[in-house]
Amino acid sequence: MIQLERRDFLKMSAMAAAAAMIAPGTAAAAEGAAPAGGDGLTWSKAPCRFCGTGCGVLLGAKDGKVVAMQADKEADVNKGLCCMKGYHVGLILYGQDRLTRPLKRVAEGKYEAISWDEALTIIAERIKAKPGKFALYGSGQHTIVEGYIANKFVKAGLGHNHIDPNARLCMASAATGYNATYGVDEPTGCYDDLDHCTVLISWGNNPAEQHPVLFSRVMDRRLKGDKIHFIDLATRRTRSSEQADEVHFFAPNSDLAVANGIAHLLVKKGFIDKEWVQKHFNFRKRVAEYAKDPAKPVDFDPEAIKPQNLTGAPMTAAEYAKAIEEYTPEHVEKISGVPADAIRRMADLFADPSQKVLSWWCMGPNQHTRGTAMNSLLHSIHHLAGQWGKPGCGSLSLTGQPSACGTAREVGTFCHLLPGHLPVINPKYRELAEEYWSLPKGRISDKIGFHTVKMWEEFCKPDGAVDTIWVQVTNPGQTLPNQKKLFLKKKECPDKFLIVSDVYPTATTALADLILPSAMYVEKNGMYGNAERKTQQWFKMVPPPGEARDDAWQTLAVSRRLFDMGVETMKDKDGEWIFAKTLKNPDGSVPEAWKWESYYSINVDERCFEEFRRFTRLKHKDLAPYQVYVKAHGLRWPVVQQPDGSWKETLWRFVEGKDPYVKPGAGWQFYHSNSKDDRAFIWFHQYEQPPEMPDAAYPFWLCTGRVIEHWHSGTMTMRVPPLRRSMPHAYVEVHPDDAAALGVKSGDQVVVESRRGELKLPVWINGRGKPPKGTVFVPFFDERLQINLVTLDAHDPFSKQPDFKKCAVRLRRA
Amino acid sequence: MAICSFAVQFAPGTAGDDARFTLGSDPRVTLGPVAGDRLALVMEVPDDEGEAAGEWLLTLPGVLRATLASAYYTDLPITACPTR
Ligand code: SF4
Repeated sequence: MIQLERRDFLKMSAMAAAAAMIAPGTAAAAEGAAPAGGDGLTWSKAPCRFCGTGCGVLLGAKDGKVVAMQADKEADVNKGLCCMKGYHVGLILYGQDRLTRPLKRVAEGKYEAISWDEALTIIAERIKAKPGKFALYGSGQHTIVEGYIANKFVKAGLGHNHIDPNARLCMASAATGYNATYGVDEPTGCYDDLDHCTVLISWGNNPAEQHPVLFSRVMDRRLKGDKIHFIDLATRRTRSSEQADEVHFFAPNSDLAVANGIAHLLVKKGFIDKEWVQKHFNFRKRVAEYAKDPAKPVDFDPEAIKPQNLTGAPMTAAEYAKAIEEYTPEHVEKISGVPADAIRRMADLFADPSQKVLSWWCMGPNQHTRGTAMNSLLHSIHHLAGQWGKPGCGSLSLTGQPSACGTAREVGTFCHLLPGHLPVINPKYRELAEEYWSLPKGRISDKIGFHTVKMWEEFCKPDGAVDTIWVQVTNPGQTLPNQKKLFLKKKECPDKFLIVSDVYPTATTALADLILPSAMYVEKNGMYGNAERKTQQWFKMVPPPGEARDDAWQTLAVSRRLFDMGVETMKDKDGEWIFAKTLKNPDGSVPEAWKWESYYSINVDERCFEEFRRFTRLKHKDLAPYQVYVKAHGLRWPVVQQPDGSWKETLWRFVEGKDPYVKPGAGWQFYHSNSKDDRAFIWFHQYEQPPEMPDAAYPFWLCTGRVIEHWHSGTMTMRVPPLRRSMPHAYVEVHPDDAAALGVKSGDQVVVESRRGELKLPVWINGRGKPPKGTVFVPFFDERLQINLVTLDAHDPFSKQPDFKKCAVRLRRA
Repeated sequence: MAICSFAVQFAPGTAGDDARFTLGSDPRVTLGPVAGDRLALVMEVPDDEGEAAGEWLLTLPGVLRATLASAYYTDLPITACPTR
C-alpha cells in the first residue's frame, strides 16, 4: 500500500512537470499536481553534466543517491526540455566500476591500492625532482574552480605554463577566431538569437544530435508557425538535414570557399560601401602570403607562428574587393560542389534586411587546419551583410563540453593564457596576476607552455621535454588524434610517468602509473560556463563513493605537499603557501583545506571564485559574486551591478543599449578592437587544400564525430544501460555505391586504414548518417573501437587545434 | 519500472485525434492536462523499455513532438554496465 501511494505521488510529480511544459501555469492547475520537494526527495539545481548547451536540470536525491531528474523550467537555456542524455544524467554516477581507491601501477596492467597520503607523496616527489618537465592536461569539463586551482598551481606554483585543456581539441579555433575578429574571445550574441532568427545556417554541424535542445528550440518555433529557412551546409546527410529547407554538401575544407562566395556576392551588391562597414570594420588578411595554387598551400611551420600574427595585416576595402573577386559562384561550385545558385540564394538572404540570418557551428569549422580562418570568415560575412548586432542575427559558435567556455577560456587553462583570458605573453597581465596572487615579481613565465599536441608529442618521446603528465577530467587515451604517435608511444618510454584523476577506468587509465579516484558531478560543488557566456553554479548533493575525492582538493593537496617539502615556488612573496590568501578566513586563519576532512569545512569554490573574478573585469567579462549564482539559474557575462544593487546579465555584446560597456551614441562599439579604434575586422582568407587529401592509395575522406546517445568518449554514457543499448558500438557509415564496389552490406566488417593506423568496424549503409560517395564517417565514443588510431594530428597554425574531420583512408573487407 | 512524463504535441485533424485515442487506450499511459494541441502525459515503462518511450511516441502518426519532462529512477535498479 505504501509502495502504491509512493508511485502515485511520483506520477503526480511527473505529471506536474509535463503540464508545466505544455503551458505555463498549467502545472498548478493539473489535478493532484505535487509541489516540488513534497515527494520525499531533496531537489537541487545543476547544469547538465554533458554538452556545452548548459541545460538546467533539477536532481532529486534520497538517502545519499540521485534518484530522479527533471528539466529545470526556470533555466532559460532549455525552458524545461532535456535530451536523452540529460534525462539519464543522474545515472552516470552509478556505474559498477567506479574508481574508489588510489591505485599504483606495479606491473603491466597490474595495480595495487595505496593510501591518498602515499599517492600525494609520489606526485609531489615526481614534480619536485623536475618541475619544468611536469605538465597538467586539463579539461573543458573541469569545473571553473578546479580549472582555476590547476591553473594557479602550474603558472604561479611551478613558474611555467605547461598546462593545456582538452578544449584545445574542440574549440581553440573558435577562440582564435573571436580574438582575431573582436580582440576578445567568446560569442557576441546568445541562444536568444535562436528565438528571433528567420534564416538559420548550419556550417558543418549536426545540432539535431549534438545540441538537440537548442535545435528543438528552433524547430519548436516552426511548429508554432514561425517561418524559419534552415540551410544545412554539410559533409554528410544527418538528422539535422532531415529538417532542412536546403541541404548542400561541400567538399571537406571548402567551407572557406563557400563563405568567400557569399562575401564575393555581397561585395558585388555594394555592401562594401555600406555605412556600417565604413564605420565599424577594418579589413584584414593573413600575414603570410598565400600560394597562387590552393593545391600547394604555403608551407609554414605552425610552431613558428607568433601570437601577434593572429591579428593579421591591414588591407583596404579595394584590396579586399580585389582579393575576393575570384570567388564567383561558379568558381566556388567547382571547389566545393555547392551549386552556384545556392551560393546566390544564400547571398540574397544575407543581403535582405528583412531577414535575420544566424550562422551556427561547432566542430566542423573548429577541428580544421584552417579553423581560425574559417571562424573569422563566418563572423566576417555577417559583418559585411549587416547581419549582426540585432537579435536573431549573428555568428554563434557552440561548444561540445560543459565548461569549455567557463573554464578553459575564461579561467584560461590554456598554455598561453592567464585567468580572465589574458595572454601570458603580455607583461602587463603577468604583473597584474603576480599582484593578484601576491607573487614575487617575475614568477610567472613569459613563455607560452606546451599546447596539447606538443605536450603529448614531448611526453611520448624518450628524450622529450615532458616526463610527467597529470590528466584531470578527460580521456586523452581515446580523444587525442593519431593515438599511436601521441599516446600509445608512452609504452616505449619507461621513464615517463602518467597520473590520471578519473571516475572510471578508461583508455587513459590503462597506461597510467598512478590513478586517483575522483568525485564526479554533483558529488562535489561546482560551476560551469556554457557556450553563451552563462555561468551556472551547483552544490554537492550526494557523497562520492569510497575514497573518491574532488579534483580541486587533489590539486590543492599536492600543492600543499610541495609547500611543506620546501619548494620555493609554492610560496607567495610573503612566504605563505600560494593558496593561503585565497582560502583565508575573515579572522586571518588559514583553513586546512588540503586535508580532506577539512575540505568541506569551508566553501573552497566560493573563496577561489571570488579571487578569480577579479581577473574577469579586465576584458569586460565581469562575473557576479558567487552568492548571486547560488540564487540564479545561470547568468551571462558581463554581469554588472545595477544602482539598486541587483546584478544584470548581458545578452548581446558591443551593442548600445544591450552591452553596458558601449558608450552612449556609439551604436556598435568593439571596445577590445585589435586595431584600437573600436572597430572589428572583416577578414579575407584564401581557400587552400587540406594537408591530406584522398589519392589513389587512400581514396576516401574520413570524418569523425558524435552520436546523440553518447557523450564524447562514452566514459559516462556507455555505462548507462539505456544509452548503451540504444547505440552499443561504433560503426562506419558508407555510401551504398562504395559499399557495392567493396562488396559489403550493413553489418559486414571492413578495415578503415590510414597512413597512421587501422581499425575494423561494422558497416552501416543508409543508417543514422548518409555520407556522400567517397566519404566515410565513424563516431569516436567507443573505447573498444578507437577511430583516433586512424586520424591525423595536423593542426591549425594559430589555434593548434587538430583536424579530426578530414583525412585520407582506404577501406577493405575484413 | 521507470516513471517518465512527456509534453506531446499533436498534428491537427484526424491524425492527431487518432494518436490521442491510441495513447488514451494504452495501459502504460496516464493522460494529463491539455493546452491547445499539447498534452501532458505520464508513462510507466519497464527499465529496458524506458529509452524507447519517447521514440515510440514519435512513431505515432499524429504525434509531432514528444518532449521528455521528467524521469524518476527511484524504482530502476541503479546498476550500470561497465565498458571494459
Ligand atoms: S546533453 Fe546537452 S542538450 Fe542534452 S540535456 Fe545535457 S546539456 Fe542539454
